[in-house]
Amino acid sequence: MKKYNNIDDIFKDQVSDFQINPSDKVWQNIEGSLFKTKKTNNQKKLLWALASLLLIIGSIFTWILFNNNAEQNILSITTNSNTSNNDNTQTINNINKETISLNAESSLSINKPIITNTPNAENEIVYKNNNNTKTSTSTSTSNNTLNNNITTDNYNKENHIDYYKSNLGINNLSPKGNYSIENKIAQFEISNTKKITVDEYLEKRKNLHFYTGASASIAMTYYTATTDQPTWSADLTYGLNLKQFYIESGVGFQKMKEEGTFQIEYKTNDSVGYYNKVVSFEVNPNSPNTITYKTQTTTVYDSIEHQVLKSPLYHYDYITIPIKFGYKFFQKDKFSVSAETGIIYSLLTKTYIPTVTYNDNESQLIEISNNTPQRIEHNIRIHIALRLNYNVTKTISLSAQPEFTRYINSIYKKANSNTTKPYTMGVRFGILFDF
Amino acid sequence: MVGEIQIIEECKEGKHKSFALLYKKYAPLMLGVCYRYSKTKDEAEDVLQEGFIKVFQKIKSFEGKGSFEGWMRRIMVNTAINNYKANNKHYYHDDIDKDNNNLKTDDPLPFEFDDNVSKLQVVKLIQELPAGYQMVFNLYVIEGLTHQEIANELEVSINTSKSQLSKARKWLRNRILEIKKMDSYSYIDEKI
Repeated sequence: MKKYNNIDDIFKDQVSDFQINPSDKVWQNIEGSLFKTKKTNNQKKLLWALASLLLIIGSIFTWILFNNNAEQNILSITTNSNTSNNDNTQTINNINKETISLNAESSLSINKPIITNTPNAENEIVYKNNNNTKTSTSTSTSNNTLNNNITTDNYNKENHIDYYKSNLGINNLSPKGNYSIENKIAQFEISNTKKITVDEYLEKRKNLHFYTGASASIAMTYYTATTDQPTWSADLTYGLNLKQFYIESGVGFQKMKEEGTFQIEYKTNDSVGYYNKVVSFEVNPNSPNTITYKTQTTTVYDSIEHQVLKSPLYHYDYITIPIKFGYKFFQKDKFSVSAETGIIYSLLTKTYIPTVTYNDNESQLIEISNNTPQRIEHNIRIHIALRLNYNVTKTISLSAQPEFTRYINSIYKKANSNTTKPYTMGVRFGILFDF
Repeated sequence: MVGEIQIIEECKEGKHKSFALLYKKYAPLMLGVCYRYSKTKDEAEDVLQEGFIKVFQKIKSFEGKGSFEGWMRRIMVNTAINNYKANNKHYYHDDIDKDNNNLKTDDPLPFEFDDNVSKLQVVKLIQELPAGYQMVFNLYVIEGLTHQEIANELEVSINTSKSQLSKARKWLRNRILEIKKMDSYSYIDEKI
């Protein structure tokens, strides 16, 4: 028997270094949790990287397309030289018929190039425009004498190039390098193009082109277990249009809401019945066997447990990556209608859990339990839509798109029925830039 | 033999093997801590699991000042407090005793205790305490917190803390005397 000064010392002495071996499942759970988080983080990083890559590729792609668009106007005449044998060859590249149509805004005025040549000296090409005069110098040492003009009446592109070739004596160039007059020819051609209408442009462009755009949607998500909630999203898209068909992808952000399920248990002192309490009694002196009782009705209270459900809103953030295919089945002037289908992958990036409190001085809280089903991170939806497109200009169009999406997999971790696959119906509005 | 400091450093670098080593070393002791704050072993293991996850997530913030064991113990106790708050908040309402505002916190009565009683049986006695008493008794007697600190941690008044401690002591003394009368501690189930 050990004597202690007080009861505290017994426990200090006995339990401060108390040890028990945990069961194996504890470490398995810890390990699973840590590694799952790590894996999930890696997956998230990977998806963010993919989304960023997609954006970067899209941006580069857009930049290249814009540049190509500008460079489509350039014709190049290149002299490939061989310094060892003086064998000069000339090639003419990129005589692009589209060049003319792409410069619909240009003026109809004709500029007359005047090319002068001084024997044994450098050729000089002079353009006389309405607004300014541009001069370029070649390195040719041609012996030809040049003094030709091109007029509106006799101009065509092939003649123009031949004109330069013959007048500048390209065939006789010394092997000093590239001989470039492309910009000048392009400028000349630009200034000689006709104005065309948007409709004509669209007609020319309908075979193959790329586009990019931005869109935003508002939709209603229909849950079977909880109240329907609005959802919105914003996307950046990149697409390829091939005749009547198009394929489109991109990256987007989606915000969803859903009611949570919280059960609050509390107890209150409630009336559960009553009894008649004897307050006093009287004995009748004339009849001792007769007793008169005075009673009072007394209410009985007991602690009664109650349950109440609360449904505050959960908010969810998703990153979405769609792949969509469309077919344009109707087109009239600037207006077109396409049928569209595809899949949308979504990654749950953030869950906002609402706070539930219970304050009532008349009752005593027992427990607040959260029975909201947890959502999974990865989802795939099927997407069906109708795209109504209106070309505002030859490169910009606006779209309105009634769309329907339905989740293929359950959005919850504990899935037990089809009720876990909600669907959405809404409208998407977008702006597209064609190249 | 890898030293503890090195294991901790490797854990900071995210080495899985070092986490396992650290867990193997401290899990029994930390479960002992969690066990005192819980009603069952399952509950204690839940707290231990949550506590260890926090330890591994926050290990980078451990600067080596003070003992690592103490740092871990504090995390386990905090996890147990959070667990208690989440599951047993209503007990406070029962335990607040406004008539006991001037209760003495010390209990100097000498006490004899059977040497043959195992540590597990002593811990089981703490587990038998009503939840509110159990919490305050653990924090005050074993962890050495003041009533002010307990009041802050549990979000109760200092008087409530004092009252709970007094009742816990009384409850335990009666329990031990009761067992003594029965002349056997064997009724305290040694099974975990």
